[in-house]
Amino acid sequence: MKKLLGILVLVLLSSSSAFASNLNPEKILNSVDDIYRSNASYGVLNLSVTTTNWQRTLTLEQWSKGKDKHLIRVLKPKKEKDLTTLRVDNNVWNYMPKVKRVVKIPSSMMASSWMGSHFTNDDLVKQSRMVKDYTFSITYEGKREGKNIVEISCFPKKDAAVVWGKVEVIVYRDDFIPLRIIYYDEDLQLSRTLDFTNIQMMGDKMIPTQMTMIPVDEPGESTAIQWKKIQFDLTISDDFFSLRKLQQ
Amino acid sequence: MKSKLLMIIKIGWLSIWRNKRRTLISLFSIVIGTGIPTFFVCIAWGFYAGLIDDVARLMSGHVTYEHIDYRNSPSNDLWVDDIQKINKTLNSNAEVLFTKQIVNLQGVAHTAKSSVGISLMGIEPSKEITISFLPETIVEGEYLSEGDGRWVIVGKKLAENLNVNVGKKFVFTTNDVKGELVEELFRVKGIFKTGSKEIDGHFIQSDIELARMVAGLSSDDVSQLGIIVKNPDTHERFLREMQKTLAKKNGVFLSWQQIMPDVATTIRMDRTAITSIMVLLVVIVLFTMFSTILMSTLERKREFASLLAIGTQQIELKLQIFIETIIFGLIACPIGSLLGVGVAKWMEGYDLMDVVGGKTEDMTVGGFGMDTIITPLFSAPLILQISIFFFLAVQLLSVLPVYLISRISITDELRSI
Repeated sequence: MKKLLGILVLVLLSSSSAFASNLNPEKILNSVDDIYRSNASYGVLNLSVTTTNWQRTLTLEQWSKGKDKHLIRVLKPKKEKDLTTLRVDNNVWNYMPKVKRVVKIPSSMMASSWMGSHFTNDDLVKQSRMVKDYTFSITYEGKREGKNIVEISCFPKKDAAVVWGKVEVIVYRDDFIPLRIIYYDEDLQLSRTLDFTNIQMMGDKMIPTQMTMIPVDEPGESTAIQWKKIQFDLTISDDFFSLRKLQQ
Repeated sequence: MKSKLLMIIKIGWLSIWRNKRRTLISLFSIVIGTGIPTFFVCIAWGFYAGLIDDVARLMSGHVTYEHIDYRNSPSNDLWVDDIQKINKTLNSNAEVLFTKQIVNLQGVAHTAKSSVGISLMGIEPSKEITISFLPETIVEGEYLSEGDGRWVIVGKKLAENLNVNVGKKFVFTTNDVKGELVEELFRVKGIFKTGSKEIDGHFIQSDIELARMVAGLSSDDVSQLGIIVKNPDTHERFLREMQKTLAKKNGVFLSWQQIMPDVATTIRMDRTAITSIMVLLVVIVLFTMFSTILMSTLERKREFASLLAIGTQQIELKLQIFIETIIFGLIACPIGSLLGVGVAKWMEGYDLMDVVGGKTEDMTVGGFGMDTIITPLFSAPLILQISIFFFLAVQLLSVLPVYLISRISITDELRSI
């Protein structure tokens, strides 16, 4: 009888563990937020913008420190070479090499496209962490399309300054590498998707080397970011992210 | 002398009624000549007065107190302080009808669908209801009330562009007074429709406390202090007085013409155009009046010759013609003014768009929608000016007939009898 009771308890424990996941969604979301971040990093990437009328690719190099400091410089094409964007905290400046002028992006320009892509200057500035602005929970865990994934549904907090109504973050179950982020508007209509592909070891870290943004209301259009090179945990001084450096 | 003058007046009065048809034609031309400009001035000046009042009440008053540099660069970091003290002094001034505290912020509204550059105006909702026409233009939801927090009202066009409706949210990005980028979540409490593309597409209002919180301003700071005066015609004098007595070093009182030069210039241009058209009309009407006065004099040449033959002096004859035209003017000019005022009054309340056709949205001046409901302005001095002008014009028109009468040859005129 005791043996039977023991087996029952064991079965109950094992079945409950199947429903109550031991995964920590907060840890997963932070891991997604920090996928391309470290104390300081350097990288080279291609930015490919496809619209219904034109397509273009830029090669960029970027430096970052923490989540507040970014410097991005155009390497190719030649016409736009040395066009540089500096972001420090909530401020963005552009350096125009042809006129040798630094222009601070005002709030009225935050909605404008960054480098003609589907990202805006505001996307660049956004440093919100999912865990800060959203309430979240794991809504799916298991195999989907042959991949072992975890799906976290995030709903914005009441007063959080985010435009989305819901964000679904889908990561690989094993290493929390992002697979897809799906953005819904306030009416929970699909708005855009951000796909992460080509997972490779780069800078001693497994990362998706390609990110593709697909806006739903602009069929046939997309912006893809492909990392060519990335180095993490470098030592870069704060002075590097200055207006003086921007003009060099 | 006096009895002679009275006799000439009597002769003049009797002689104009001897040929009633001729007299009525002359009177009719003067009545129409006076009535048409009076009508146009009442209607057009009414539109302008209504527009100025609407714009002043919606925006920053007939007189505005703001930072000395705000006009050149209306950025979020230029504000005026110590405003509660200034506001209190202004409200105790007999010439002030209302004051409105305003915090203006330029920024961008974002939703998942799109982003639009907008202008946020933080106001005191309970005051705004009594001052501005905007609360009456709410087509969905409700107007603001005190302590509404994140709730704002947006224009119909902006709501369409952002794909939001009542209860929905959008993010507002702007710079605070320190120049730092700030983002806040707003929710739509109401949607208004003014008919102006600029206001309906790029303008939102919130409780002033929300705007202050976003900008990082204290309760004693505003971007502008709007002053609605009782008599807008005297606002320039009021402005100079306030500048002397109330303005701080970094503050300046400005007139609505300086605050909204586009509106002022457009009204000035429009007034010039209307005045030019009226001058043309007046010339045509005066020519008609001249013809009728001249004909009514010349066809009586033989009568005048007879009067001269029996001993009437030239001066008495000239005086009689002048008195006849004075009587014409005294009768016709007031009737013309009354006719113009009457027709304008009769048209009061009609929608101009129903009369001339077109869309209300097309009726904008300097980006502000005009109220297309006809609301004439009956300015007694202006109506009197038009009436006096036509009275004097009629007298001037009688100079040539008088001159011609003075050259009458009695023998030539009476030969055919």
